Amino acid sequence: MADIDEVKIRKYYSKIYKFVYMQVKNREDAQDITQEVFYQYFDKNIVFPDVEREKAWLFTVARNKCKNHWRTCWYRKIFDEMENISEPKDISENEYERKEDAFYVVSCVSKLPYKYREIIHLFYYENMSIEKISKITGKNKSTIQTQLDRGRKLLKKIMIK
Amino acid sequence: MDEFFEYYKDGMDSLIIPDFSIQELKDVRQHEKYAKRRKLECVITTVVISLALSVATPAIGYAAYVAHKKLHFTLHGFRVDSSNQSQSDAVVHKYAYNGTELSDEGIDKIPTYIQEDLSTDVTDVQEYTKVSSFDKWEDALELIDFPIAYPKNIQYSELKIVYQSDASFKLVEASYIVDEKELTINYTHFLSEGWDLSSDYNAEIVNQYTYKNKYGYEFGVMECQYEDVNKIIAVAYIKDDVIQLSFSGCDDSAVYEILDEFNLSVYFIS
Repeated sequence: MADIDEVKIRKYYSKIYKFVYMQVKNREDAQDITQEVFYQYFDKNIVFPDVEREKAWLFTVARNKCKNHWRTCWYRKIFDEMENISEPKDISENEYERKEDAFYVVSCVSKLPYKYREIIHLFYYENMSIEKISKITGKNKSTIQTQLDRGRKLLKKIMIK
Repeated sequence: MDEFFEYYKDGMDSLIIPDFSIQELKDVRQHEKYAKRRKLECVITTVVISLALSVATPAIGYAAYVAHKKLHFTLHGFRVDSSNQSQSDAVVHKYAYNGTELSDEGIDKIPTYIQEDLSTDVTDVQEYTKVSSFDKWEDALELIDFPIAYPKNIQYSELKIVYQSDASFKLVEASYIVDEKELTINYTHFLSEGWDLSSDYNAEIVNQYTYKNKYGYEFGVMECQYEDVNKIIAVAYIKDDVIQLSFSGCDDSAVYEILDEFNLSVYFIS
């Protein structure tokens, strides 16, 4: 049973870390915040009726902690995507190019304002529905849809630049 | 655009996840922050015990004083004034001591000084209110016997509902813990006039305005500072009802989103 828990936690940890990292754009801060989320998770010891609600709770807590982080510190640090993304080794030229493109896209998304960035990450990376994102962020579904559209348009502009 | 996000997924999948120990995460008590919190809890416990002692000491002193006051030594013995704290039942027992034995001299009429004492502590009528607590709205609504508005779609990690009721007074007080953000709802049926939030909260009002939600209900909104904590308080008056929401730890937009969910007409049908 412990092993199942461990696998589950490791999976969640990775997801939460990536989400937080895209919000705070700093490795150390992302690690601290992710740890905080899980300290709270273990401390509160909440029994969730299903996996989805557990996941939603973790993302909601992570989101609030990111917001608190911005309130309390002047974190503006430059996002160095190459530092935090694993270097491709022993791969073909095509694969290398794809990786480079991937780094570029991540850096483009990271330049979006926070409200678009978090929704795009949850929608495209976590494959969450508008309804689920609405529950996590506490925003109306129509607001999420609008912000998703605006985020995509803005992303196009960033890429053209 | 979809292909673009495939690249995004690839990029995110390549993100290095720092090493961590699950055991370390579970062992929250080792964590500095929680150690601090435990310290804080100890300090609070100490303060509470000190306060309890500081209240108990004068209470014991007062009890001794009252007992002493009721015991009167006379030339022939002593007497004890006994009362069950009701003026009509108050009696004075006299006892006489003749050097060898104690004799009961019966009930005497109430002396003036006792009547004065009694007049101060018997007049208060204790009002009893039925109080119930719940962790879920579903359970609370089974007991709450009047229409109530509450935000249904808040994602909360903790919910505590207290329902108080007697013949002339009804109050539902709910506290949501939404992670770091705390939302409190006070709901009452009788305080529609003279509701003074600033004195109620002992708060300094920084900004004051009205907000009309999407259903057309107007909330009086106050941005307050209360013991260095910023709070946003929103109040709606409907007939004899008052709904008050107190927000702390969240920004204006979160407040408006919650206020927008209150369709009060659903709950207040004339």
